[in-house]
Amino acid sequence: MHSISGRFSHKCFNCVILVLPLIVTGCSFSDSSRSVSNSSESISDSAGSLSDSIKSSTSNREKKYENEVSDYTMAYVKSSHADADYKSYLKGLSDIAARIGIVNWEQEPKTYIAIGKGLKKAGIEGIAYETYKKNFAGSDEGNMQNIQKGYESDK
Amino acid sequence: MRSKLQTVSVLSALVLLLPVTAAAASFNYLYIEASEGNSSGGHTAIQFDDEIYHYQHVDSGLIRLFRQEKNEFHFIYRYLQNRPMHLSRIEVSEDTFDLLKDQFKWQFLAQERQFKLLDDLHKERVFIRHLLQKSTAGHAIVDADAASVLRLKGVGLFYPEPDQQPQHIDGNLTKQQSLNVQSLRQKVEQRYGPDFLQRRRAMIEAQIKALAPSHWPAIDSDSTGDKFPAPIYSFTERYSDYLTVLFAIKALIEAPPLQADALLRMNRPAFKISETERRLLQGLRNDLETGLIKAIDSNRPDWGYAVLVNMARYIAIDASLQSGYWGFIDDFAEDSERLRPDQYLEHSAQIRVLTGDAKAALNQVRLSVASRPRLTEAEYSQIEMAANRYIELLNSEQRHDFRYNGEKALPSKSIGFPEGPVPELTREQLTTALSALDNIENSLFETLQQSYRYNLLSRNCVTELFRTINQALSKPYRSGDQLADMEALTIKESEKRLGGYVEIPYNFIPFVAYQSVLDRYRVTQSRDLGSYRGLELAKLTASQNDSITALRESNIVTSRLYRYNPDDALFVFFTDDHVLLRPVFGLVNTGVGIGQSVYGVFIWPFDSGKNLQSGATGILMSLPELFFFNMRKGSYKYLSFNQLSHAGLAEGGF
Repeated sequence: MHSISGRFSHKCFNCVILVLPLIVTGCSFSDSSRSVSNSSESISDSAGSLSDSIKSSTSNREKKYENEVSDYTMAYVKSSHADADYKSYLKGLSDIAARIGIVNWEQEPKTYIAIGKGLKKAGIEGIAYETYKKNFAGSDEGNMQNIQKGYESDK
Repeated sequence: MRSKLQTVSVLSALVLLLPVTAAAASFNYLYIEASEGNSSGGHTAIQFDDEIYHYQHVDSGLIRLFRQEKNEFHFIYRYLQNRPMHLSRIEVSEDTFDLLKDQFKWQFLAQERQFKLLDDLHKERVFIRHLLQKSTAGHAIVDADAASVLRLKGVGLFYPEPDQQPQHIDGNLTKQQSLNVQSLRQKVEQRYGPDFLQRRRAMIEAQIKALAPSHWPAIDSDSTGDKFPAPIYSFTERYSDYLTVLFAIKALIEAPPLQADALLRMNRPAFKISETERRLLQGLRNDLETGLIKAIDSNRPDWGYAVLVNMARYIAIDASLQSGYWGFIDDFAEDSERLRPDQYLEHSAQIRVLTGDAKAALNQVRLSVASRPRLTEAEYSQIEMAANRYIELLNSEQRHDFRYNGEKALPSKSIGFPEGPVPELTREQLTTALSALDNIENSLFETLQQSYRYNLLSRNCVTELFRTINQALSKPYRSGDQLADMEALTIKESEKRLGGYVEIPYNFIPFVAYQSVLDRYRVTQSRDLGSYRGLELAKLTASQNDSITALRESNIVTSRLYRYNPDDALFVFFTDDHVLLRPVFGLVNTGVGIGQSVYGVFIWPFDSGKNLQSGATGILMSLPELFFFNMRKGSYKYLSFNQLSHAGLAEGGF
């Protein structure tokens, strides 16, 4: 059994020893060849031998895609207004879809279902909801129905 | 015996009587032991379900929140970095779990947006400088920054860098590729009319000329994750999207074949297409054709990239169907890590294991899609990635260079900005825009520094983790008027929801903070998870003679579990499993570090100080060993996830 003073001095000793290297690279991630914004990507790259198909199953990847689109939509609508230029939003969707290997995300019903869920989570209602729905769906009837489906599924 | 049963019955009854909110959910607090390299003083993270959040100090001097999948995180820290991990499970109510998880998630998303804005601002400045040079000298001086930042994604699949000649493979294949593109163009013209592409091109050229620098509003950097900065579709992004569209139209009109290095073809039996796969590929080829036709007339600003990727994959699939063997578009990023034979030959046994795994992964994903009625784009991307990895690793069999990592889910081969239409802006307009951007970028960076500047004692991976926990706990009180004593409320909430409170100023060191979590939070379970070498050593010790194994594995010369990884500073003895001998081994390791440093001084002009730096790191890592303290563990570069998946990664549902 350790005495309190013994434990304290042990802790102090460990602290002194640990602070030395901490000064050099504590909690650091260093990859100077990449810019600040994409350094998260380079962390994953260090696991070169961890193939993407192993990291998660197809169903998990699709679920993750839906969650990311939904969260991204919520974040977007919370930070902009219904009439904002939504091209930046569409670019963001392309980035999320690219991570799971989808370039034709406009042809994926799950994209629009997830958008509907995001609008619901953001608490968008009434005319604002209808405006977002029309803009995000590119006025396509099928896409609007899928947004509605997602909106109604997220209680 | 009877009294024991009675006690169990009483306890069971008590458990049933506990409020429903108790023990409804749990999250994990992780402490990763110190080692050489990243987070050398130890590291901490928090896990909600399968997602792990942790703070890292990045090169810009800021500290950022990262999110990684559980498997990936364990593989990097416990296996590649070979560091033992300690895990505590903290039971909380569902409500507290959601509160904490949401706080980390929204802070992560808000930070992603903030740092993307910073990156976009940087690109904008580089682009405007590029335009200024063009307007002054008639051409732009392409510096390294501009060359790496101003690029058109996807265009490199069909066109070479602006100053280079196209590289095509000869023969019937290029003819067939051009015929594929011509066929796609005909479909586009059937759908939208014969002069549609020319009209689109004229419209885009006019839009480029009319482009003006974006208005950048003041950017709020809220570190709590409550507010998101408004997204901006920048001037540079608009320009590069327009240029990419012009290249997509040009490709449809000119019908060039793919660049020689864009298509990977393998005529090995392992790549033979089965009848089921043929049917699936025919279906996907039709889907890509539809995707391409729809993309051309869509509202998405990056439709040029979508057209180029669809076109390239259409060609690859058609080539596969024609030849009977799978062919794939190269999906490696341009900055992928490339290994030379002298770097990997020492580890050739491990590289063979990786090659075998890559082959197995490709077969597995091919098998899994074979039973499906149709092949989706995402599934095809998985096959493409697995095949790219396998084909690249096969280069090691011929002792060639190969790309070790960097495969992407979508092909992205790019080229630098070419000579072409540019926005019609005067020098004055460009100078004014550049000056405004300088101010905005400096202001955003300063704002970010206020919130995220790394500090060894007051803002590191541990302090930020607890700060975010505290922000979550105080969130319910932040919606109304600012309360006088937020700290007292946070402490009260922490005690109520987590079982106790961890004071940030006294817990900035990872292992101290972990002890505090064990002492104060409602920890229901804790586990020590071994590092790769630790687990393998335990297996060896169990099956072989203890003393001989210990002696053999104590140093890098005779060890079978570790081959020297040049990413590690040079050392001789492992000291993590030899407490009593640690100072003696440490002395030898310090001597080796000093030796490497002295050698580094002499060869500095030839290795840019690499050996000197490595030697100095070696001394720094060895000094604590003289005082019975271990930091260095030795790291691994070429481990396979498959090889290790049975070694306890997912055991116990952690």
